Amino acid sequence: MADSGKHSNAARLALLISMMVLWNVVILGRLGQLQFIRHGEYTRKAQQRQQRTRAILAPRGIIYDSHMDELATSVNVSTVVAEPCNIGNIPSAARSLASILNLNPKELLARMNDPGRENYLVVKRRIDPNAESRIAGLDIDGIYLIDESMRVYPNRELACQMLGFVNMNGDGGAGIELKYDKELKGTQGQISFDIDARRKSFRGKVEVAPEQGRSLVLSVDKSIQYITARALAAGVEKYEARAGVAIVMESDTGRILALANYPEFNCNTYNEYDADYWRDRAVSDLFEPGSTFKVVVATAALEAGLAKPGELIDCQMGSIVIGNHVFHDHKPYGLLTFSQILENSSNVGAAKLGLRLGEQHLYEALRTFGFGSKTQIDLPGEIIGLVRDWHEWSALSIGAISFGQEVGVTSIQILTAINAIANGGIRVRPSVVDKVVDGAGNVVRVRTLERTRIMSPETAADVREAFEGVVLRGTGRNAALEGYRAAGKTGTAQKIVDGHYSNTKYVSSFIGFAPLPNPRISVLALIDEPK
Amino acid sequence: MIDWACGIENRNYGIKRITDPQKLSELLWIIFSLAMVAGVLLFYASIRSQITSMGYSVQQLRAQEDTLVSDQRKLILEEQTLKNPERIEKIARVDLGMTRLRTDQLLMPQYQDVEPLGSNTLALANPSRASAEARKSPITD
Repeated sequence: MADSGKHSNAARLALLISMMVLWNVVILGRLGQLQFIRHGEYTRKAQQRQQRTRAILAPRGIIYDSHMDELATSVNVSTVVAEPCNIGNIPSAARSLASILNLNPKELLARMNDPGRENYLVVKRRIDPNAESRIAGLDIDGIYLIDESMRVYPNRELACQMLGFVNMNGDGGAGIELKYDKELKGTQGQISFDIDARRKSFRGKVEVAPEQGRSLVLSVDKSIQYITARALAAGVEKYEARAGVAIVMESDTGRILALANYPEFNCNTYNEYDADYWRDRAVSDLFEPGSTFKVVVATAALEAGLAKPGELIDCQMGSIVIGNHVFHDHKPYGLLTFSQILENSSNVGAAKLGLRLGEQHLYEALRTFGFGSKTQIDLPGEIIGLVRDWHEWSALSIGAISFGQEVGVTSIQILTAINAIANGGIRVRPSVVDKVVDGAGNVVRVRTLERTRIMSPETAADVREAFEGVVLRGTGRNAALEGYRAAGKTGTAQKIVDGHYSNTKYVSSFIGFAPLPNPRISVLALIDEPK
Repeated sequence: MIDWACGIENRNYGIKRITDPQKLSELLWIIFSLAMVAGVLLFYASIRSQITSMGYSVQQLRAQEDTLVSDQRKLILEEQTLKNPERIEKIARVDLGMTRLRTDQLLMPQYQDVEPLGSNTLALANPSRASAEARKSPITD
């Protein structure tokens, strides 16, 4: 009896000890699981509660004009985001937000109750600073303000097609903003803070240092740009034209001082305009140059030694037959000197110079002047133009091309070609960006001058003289300047409509340079479909 | 009833309070050590507290810096907006009644037979002859 009692006690004791051991094993197992197996998960959860990370914005680089006036800059604005799953009273939060942000409360509530957006919902982007402080004052859990950079163009329409715009995602959408997007765009950084029980942050630690976007210093002069744009707008409106382009280039270097398109758009509200407004016609639109092209043909003939400046050329009283086609002058001219052919814009004279060159040499001369290839200007959307290989020319092509038909050029191409006459025979690569500057203001890259001699200085001087005659006595008299000697050439080309030359639609252009004898600037003005 | 305390004075009469210098020294060391540990802990706590409070200040200053930088950017933007040539021209024309100069208000430098000029020199012409004549006759292309 006593033995059985002892046995029973020992068994109970053993059971108790076993249970305690088992309990301890379970506890230790759980501790082990928490400490070792799920360590990372719980550390992360703790950090989420105790830490807050925030993006450090790396502002997009600034675009300056040549006098360091800002043409495009960025400012920080706030965007309201919500995590509906963390909001206590969604209807009340929706009402409060809607009243501050001028939103429809019912629509906002519906969006906040959408199961697909319970973790993240952008309530409104780029709110104004007053609304920002009022939302911060609401102090609702699950509603946050995040910093965002917004691109601003203080001069609105000025140089809009050249500058382009930045879309809602912060990517360059057109113009310089697109071409130099990688350089302008900075890299966002990240900072983490410890937060206390009142959700106040302290002890910040920069996890990823931000990299500020590089800034661009353009060759464009804001004042010249404005004067050019205003003059172009006046011209287009006066002649009720469809569009217009004007470019001002520094003759020796090819630096673009102004590049204006009409019609314009406000870069700040680019999405309110049709995409057609965004196009930079100076580099992406093709036109038949018309009479301005005669200069190219005449220069090529002079350079090849096939014509002399004082030489008399028979213009056959205003008509010439080439390939069974009769080409006419607007007036019957007899003997004209080389200069007079340009002054009077004689088609027959130009065709005769073209014939002297021959198809192959004329084609090679066009290519030497840069037609049929990109000028490599640092703007997006540049096209190569249209110059068919001379093997594909018809019998009358040499005549038509000699006075600017059957070829397609861009405004920047023809200005670059004529500019070579202005600067003594050198084709320079046009450019709009002079310098790239990093966030600390250090110059990262400077524009390099790319020059190719395409004619002798003597040929260039002879053509400049003939060019001056056009302004003094010929078709370009409107371009005569008070106080300065100027040179230039007008051009009018019929537009092709439904495969035929239109009698009503044409493109008028003028290309010139001043002051002579050492031109500093070359200018192109083009009006599309003037009435 | 037994008086347990009876005669206690007689029994303990030989006990005397003697200061043991070694024990006292040990005690003082222990107290000193404890005081040192407490001091270090207090110092650590105060440093931690200072770091935390400085952390708050740093955060406050960082926020202030962000605001100032943002304000500066906005001011620069405002300045650039005010410098917009279109706005300046409008003020000049509408508010101040200014107009473009007429050509007869311009004083041109006297014509001189120019030597070959350097590329940095603006070339001058005789405006009275060439340009004025050029303006007279109609234009044809």
